[in-house]
Amino acid sequence: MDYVFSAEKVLSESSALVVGAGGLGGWVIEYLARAGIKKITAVDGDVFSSSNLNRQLYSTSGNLGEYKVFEAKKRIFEINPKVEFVAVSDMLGEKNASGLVSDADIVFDCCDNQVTRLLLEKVCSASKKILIHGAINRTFGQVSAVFPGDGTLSRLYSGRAEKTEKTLAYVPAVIAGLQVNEGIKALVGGENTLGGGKVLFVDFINNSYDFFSV
Amino acid sequence: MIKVKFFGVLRLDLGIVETEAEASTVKELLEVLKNSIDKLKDVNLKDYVIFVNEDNIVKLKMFRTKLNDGDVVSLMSPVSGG
Repeated sequence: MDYVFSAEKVLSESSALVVGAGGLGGWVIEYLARAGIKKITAVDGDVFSSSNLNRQLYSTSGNLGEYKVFEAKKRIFEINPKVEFVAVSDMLGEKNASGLVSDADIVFDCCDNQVTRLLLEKVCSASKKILIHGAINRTFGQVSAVFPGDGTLSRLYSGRAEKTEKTLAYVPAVIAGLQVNEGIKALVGGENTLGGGKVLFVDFINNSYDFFSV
Repeated sequence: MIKVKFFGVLRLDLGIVETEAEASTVKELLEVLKNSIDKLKDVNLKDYVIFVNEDNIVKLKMFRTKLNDGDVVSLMSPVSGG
């Protein structure tokens, strides 16, 4: 069967949990909706501020102060009203993580901090869910498909993470595209994914794409 | 000769993408780098994720991992923004 047809069919029956609706999350939500996913649950307790305008897809000069997840919901309804969109205007934490993860077929890590990422990895592994990790900073990004038991993020973040600084506008769009690509491959059958501890590191300035096994 | 590649902000801070050094273990290599690159003098390189030929040293013998001519050692710190 043609891969694109298979992907659209699987997506039309799948639900995704997107944790974080900022730089990466906005683009992940957009790509999933346009690809025809059945349901998106977006979790983010933050509101848009002017510092988001350079890279966060759903931020505009007119919606500063509004919840990111509700702005995402409005936008997705305009694009594809068939998508069932659940907006959770709260941060993911110990209390709500298990419930949110258990309802999803696949989970996207679009967080902005190490602590939430490690919690998400733990909960996804316990719930036997695949976690698609993405992270960005300045002109760098990284992507991985974390399968239950891989422990990729706990090894990756065993040392120090870089201090997060301003990221250029196009960086989240590219990394989010790679995340959705990994997510769809995982849903279709899990072949050729960045699983088993593999991580792709992208350096946009030097055009380098390096794969490591953490 | 060992090829050393820097990633992420470390790459930006040093202004070096890759260099070469002589060393027989990862521990020795880190000392050589600290002594030869001025900006690394006050940096704790053990805080970074270190790969030898694409494998994390936590899966090898950590800092005692032996290095051979032609090996590639990569040092990076993961990014965490979203």
